[in-house]
Amino acid sequence: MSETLLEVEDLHTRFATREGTVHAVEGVSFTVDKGEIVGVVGESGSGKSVTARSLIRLEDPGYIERGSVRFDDIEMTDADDRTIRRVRGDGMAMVFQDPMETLNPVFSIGEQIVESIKVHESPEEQRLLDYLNVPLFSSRGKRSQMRQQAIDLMSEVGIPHPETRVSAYPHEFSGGMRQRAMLAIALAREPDLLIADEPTTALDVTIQAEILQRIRDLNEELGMAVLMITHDLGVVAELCDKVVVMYGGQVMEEGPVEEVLTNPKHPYTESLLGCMPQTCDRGEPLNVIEGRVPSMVGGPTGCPFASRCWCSSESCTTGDLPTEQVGEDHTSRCHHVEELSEPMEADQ
Amino acid sequence: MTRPIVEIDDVVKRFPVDDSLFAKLLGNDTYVTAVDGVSLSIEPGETLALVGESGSGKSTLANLVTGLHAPTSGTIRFEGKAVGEATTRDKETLAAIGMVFQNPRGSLDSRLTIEQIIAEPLKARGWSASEREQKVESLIERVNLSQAYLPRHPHELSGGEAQRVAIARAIALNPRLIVLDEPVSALDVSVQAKIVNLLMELQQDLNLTYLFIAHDLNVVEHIADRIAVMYLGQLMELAPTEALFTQTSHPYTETLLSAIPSVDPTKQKERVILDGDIPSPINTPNGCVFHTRCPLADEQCATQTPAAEHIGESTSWCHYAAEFTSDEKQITGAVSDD
Amino acid sequence: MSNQDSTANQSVIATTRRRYRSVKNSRRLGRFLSNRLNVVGLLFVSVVVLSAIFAPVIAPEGPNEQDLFNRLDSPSAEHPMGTDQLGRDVLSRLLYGARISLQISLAVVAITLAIGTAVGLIAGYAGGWVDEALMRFVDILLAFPGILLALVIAGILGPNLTNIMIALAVVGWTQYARIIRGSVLSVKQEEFVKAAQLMGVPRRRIVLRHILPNVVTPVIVLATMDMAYVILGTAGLSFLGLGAQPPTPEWGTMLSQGRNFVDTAWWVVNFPGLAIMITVLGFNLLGDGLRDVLDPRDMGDVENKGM
Repeated sequence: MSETLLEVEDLHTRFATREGTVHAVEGVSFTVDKGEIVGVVGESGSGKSVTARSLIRLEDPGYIERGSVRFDDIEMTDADDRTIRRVRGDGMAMVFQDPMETLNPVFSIGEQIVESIKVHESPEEQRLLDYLNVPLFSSRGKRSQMRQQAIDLMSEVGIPHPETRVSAYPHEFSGGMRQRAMLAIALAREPDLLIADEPTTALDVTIQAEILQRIRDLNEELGMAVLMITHDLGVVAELCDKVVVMYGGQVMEEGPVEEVLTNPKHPYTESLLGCMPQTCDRGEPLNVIEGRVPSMVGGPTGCPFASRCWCSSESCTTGDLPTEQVGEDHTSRCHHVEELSEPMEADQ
Repeated sequence: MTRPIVEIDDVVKRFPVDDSLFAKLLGNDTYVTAVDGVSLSIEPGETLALVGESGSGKSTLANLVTGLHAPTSGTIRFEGKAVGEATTRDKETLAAIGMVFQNPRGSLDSRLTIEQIIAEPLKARGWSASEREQKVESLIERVNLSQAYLPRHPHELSGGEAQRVAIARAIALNPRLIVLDEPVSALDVSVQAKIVNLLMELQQDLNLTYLFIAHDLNVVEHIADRIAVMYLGQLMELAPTEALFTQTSHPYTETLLSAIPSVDPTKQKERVILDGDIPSPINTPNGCVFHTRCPLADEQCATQTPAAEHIGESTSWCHYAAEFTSDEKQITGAVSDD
Repeated sequence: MSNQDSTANQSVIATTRRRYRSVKNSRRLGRFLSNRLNVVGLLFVSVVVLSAIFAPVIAPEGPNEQDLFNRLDSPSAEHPMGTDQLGRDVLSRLLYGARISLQISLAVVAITLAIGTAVGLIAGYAGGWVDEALMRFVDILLAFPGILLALVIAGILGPNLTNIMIALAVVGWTQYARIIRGSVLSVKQEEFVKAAQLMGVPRRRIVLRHILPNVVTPVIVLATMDMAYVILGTAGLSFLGLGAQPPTPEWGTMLSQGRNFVDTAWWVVNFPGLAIMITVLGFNLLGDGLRDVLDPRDMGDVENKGM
């Protein structure tokens, strides 16, 4: 067994709204080992993004009700600001879906990467003088060295002509290039874990393929673990070692990618795979999941998927979900795992 | 043979980069060429898919067909009749072409009720209140929503429900052609499947022709009869769906296909990763527009614009279409790094 | 026919009921009330509006009732805010003054709003030469310092309240036109407008039914704050003798008349000054509050917070 890097246990994140408390994440547990790529997959409203944000303590305006997030032996849920800053500085880095919103439009890409390098080198001390580049006070040598580091990082993530583009501004970059720049900013902190929240959703498939390739290379070269948040099962299949399937704020199924995607042990995973156009003949109606995503206001009773599930029974609508071991490292949270044991039928 | 429902003939669309008065007075005319000499036709009853990356001009081409834009040059004929911008079209033509947009909520006015939204095209054609009411009720049921939705507002609907409302509005005036601009791209997989099914069902029942814009080739493969691949405003390949997916005749199509992630982890394929970005549409490359990123490109590609070449049922705009199709030239081994 | 009417009525009733319910439960109301300054603003404005409406009922005396034996009396039980140089009750004059101020500001804001919105809508939706011509005209008007232009107009037309209104209206509409035009340009790009165009919806209906309701929000905020600006402008011009003429109980005129007695009778100037301040402050706070509440960007709220 390899070493565990991140351990999430029974995490509950909630939002207080005027309509009531939204239970966005409801008892999520999983682990990420060093150097592993884990995918968290789910539809909108499944709580996958809130989970990711909670890990790095960006859950605001929500709050963590209970549960534990242990990163490298640091308990994140009750860590003080200083510790959280340190972890963000060199432990976990996050890449978001929309790079235009996360890049600051008034600083050049190079400056933003350099800032990230500075944060990594001294997460505690941030002096205003470091940012002002006042002659005499800040050393020229250090500045050009950091600039060089930024250029190296840019070439590492595949930005062509980094020497000239280091002083370009975000609006001069295309969507794919911006996402690469975000990746460079994250890498400047030499993180042990990269949390990528739908990093390729806004991009074209060709660009997506390239970014995924980069992430895989970085994982192999630097041994950096990756937590990939996505709605796209294709991305998971492509990139991940392990997958966590979420629905209604809860984990439905967890296991090695190959097993989960070829031999799902949870009706939700099975239905979701069935919806993919590839699984159907051309021109034939696609399989669908009837009903709509349940409201997350108020606590769940039983399995969130029960109302849409083809094999739900009375036991599904009450109580907690069991965690059934269905294979090595493969768990399914369903009352009816036994009935699903046969390989998936095309026409369920 | 029946006459095509839409004929697009050598259509060019340019947008001025700076549209201000001063720019016009100073004669400062830099243009973005969004669509660059595209010719194709759509047969009645078929689904023609337009695919390409962002910036390929596929949405602009769709807007030219619906009349949101007027072509800079070239003609668009709908049922044999040349049509211009929507404002110049007669009501009959406007009614005959429906449109569904990508963002379901954005295409519905958030201040109207669902009933008012669906009734809008009927009202524009002068239907009376009672006729409208009846028609709206039958339309909402046609897209598998209950009448309870009628008094609601768009923000109370999920993405899939909003898209159903948009579809109901598009079919309100019994159109013959519907232009679908990325109708399922903003939706979750499970919702996407329902909308795709609904679209296929409506096409059968109402005898509709679809112009389907998409970047998701999985959906396209499922729903389209023919596929037109665009890049930088030009057609790269036009082929029946099956032919395109089994034997591509253009290197660009091949890279697009190879980039789709497969859900089956045991069947991971070799990937063609292109260098760099799509070039700027202000200064499009000479010769074949794809030559700057094409692994097969040589001098000829950089200087001469390729002519249409017919290979089987496919049409390809590549100098090496024949060699490429017969695997004499391949792009996978050349650049792939694993 | 009657059947149709009744269904129409029913749907109207249903919509009204829904609207009411949505206001009652809305987070907007909650958000407005959660900021204490908004409530203060609303309170100030309500006080001024109520005193204007009920001035004849609550005022102890008529606004122009002179009592030459009791000139410049200090505040007392009989005259809570004292009397002025002609023995008129200051409180009564203030209450009637509120009427004048509110009437003028309402009229001016309504006129500017109407002109500005119309010009902005036309310029924004038509585009091209129409847009250029209208907007350059607006630029020219904006190039003059506003209050100076009003001074000139009031000076030329002669000093009275009607001319003040004209002067302030001429100056005021331009900013509405600009804001509306800007919003129209962005709403015009929205897909629902394109959809309406493709359905052959007449242009007038597109502009009035689809675009106007979606661009009017920022303007409502501005109009609220403009009420304060117009009240201040009226008072200022009247103070300079270009607006209301004595004995009209206008706040600016009262200030101007009372300033000769500021050494001996502080109440003659300070109470009108306070009235102006409270009203202006009230409208500004209310405008700020409305801005927080009406900002359409937060419509989605929690739904869009990455869930």
